Amino acid sequence: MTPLLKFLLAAHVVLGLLGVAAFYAVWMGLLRETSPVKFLKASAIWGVVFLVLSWATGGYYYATYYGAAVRSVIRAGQYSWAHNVFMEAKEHIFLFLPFLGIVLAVTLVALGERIDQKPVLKKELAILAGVLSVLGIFITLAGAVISGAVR
Amino acid sequence: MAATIAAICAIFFVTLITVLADLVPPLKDWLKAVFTHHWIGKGILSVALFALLFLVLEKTPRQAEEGRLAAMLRLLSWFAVLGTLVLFGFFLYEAFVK
Amino acid sequence: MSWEIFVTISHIIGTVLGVGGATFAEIFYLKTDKNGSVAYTVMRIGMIILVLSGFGYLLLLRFSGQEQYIYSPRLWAKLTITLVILVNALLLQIHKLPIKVGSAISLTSWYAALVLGAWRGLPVGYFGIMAWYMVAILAVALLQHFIRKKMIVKA
Repeated sequence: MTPLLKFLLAAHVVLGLLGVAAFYAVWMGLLRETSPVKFLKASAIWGVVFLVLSWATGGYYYATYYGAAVRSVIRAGQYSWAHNVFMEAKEHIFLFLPFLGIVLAVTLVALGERIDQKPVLKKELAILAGVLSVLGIFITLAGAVISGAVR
Repeated sequence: MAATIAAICAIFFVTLITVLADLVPPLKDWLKAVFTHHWIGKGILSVALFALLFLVLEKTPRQAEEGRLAAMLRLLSWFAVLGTLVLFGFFLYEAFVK
Repeated sequence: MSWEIFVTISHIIGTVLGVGGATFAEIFYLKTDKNGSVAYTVMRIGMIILVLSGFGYLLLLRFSGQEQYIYSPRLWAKLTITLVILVNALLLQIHKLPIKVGSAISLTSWYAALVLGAWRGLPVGYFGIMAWYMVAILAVALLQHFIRKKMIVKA
């Protein structure tokens, strides 16, 4: 693996983690009786930025290197399911996240300080943030499973 | 509201094209031929769909009623969860049953 | 400074903040001290540093051709316990878990993660570790119960 590809893989992981952490913070913030609106807006916007950057860095690594150099190794080994199930699922489920994140960010920015006066909407946004966080955590762990199978 | 509807459609599209592309090899080949990689193609098409729907729906005058928005947000959450289960289940099936 | 040393230092800092934060959160809770919220902020910062540096370790294993350690039972037990800490925080936030239960889970989890991280060559599988972890939660809950009782009697 070249230094650039190592950097891209590391950046993909770190940015993805920061994105998931940002939306976990949004989730926790929306569960509070009085939501820290400024923090939630910033967290959601940064969360989208991190996810998009994770998408770009991971995507370059995946499209230019993974197929030729990593997939074949995993498939030939005793953990072929790591690619056939976890990588295949992960690379497509990941595509959901930026859209979920954009909806959260746009809605939080539009609602602003009114969020606490709209409990029904606040609850649905909390659920959405929870779904995004859980999917993000699943994708992160799937990444670890895939990396561990490269032998 | 526009972003929510656009996101629902994008997630549905990603789930559908992923399953179809694996079941219909010419579709996967087409994606690869046009976009150099099937996954890149799915990403670009889903973003294009989201952007197009968002721009069109945003311009459409409608009453952004709180109850409707809440329902659409719930629907979006469901689509994300079901889409995940469909994709994970599909690849489990392809790996162990097929 | 190599990446290994940077990641190790980061992980230790995260552990110190997280475990320290959890310990003081417990002390402040027992003493019903208003400074408890500061402890939670410190814990959150510790958690972020720990997760980032923890995955930094995984990346280093990947880059150095030691991928087999990524499937270590000790590592997956730590990941599970980290998830428990996050879920526990969530349940406490929405008041779905009594504070006494949540406090025992939080304190045990932070120390369990620390112990697992330090205990190289632990000869126990994943389910064995999780069984001991659950026993530890019960033990800590009992200990907290007796300490609280004693503090009430003293007061």
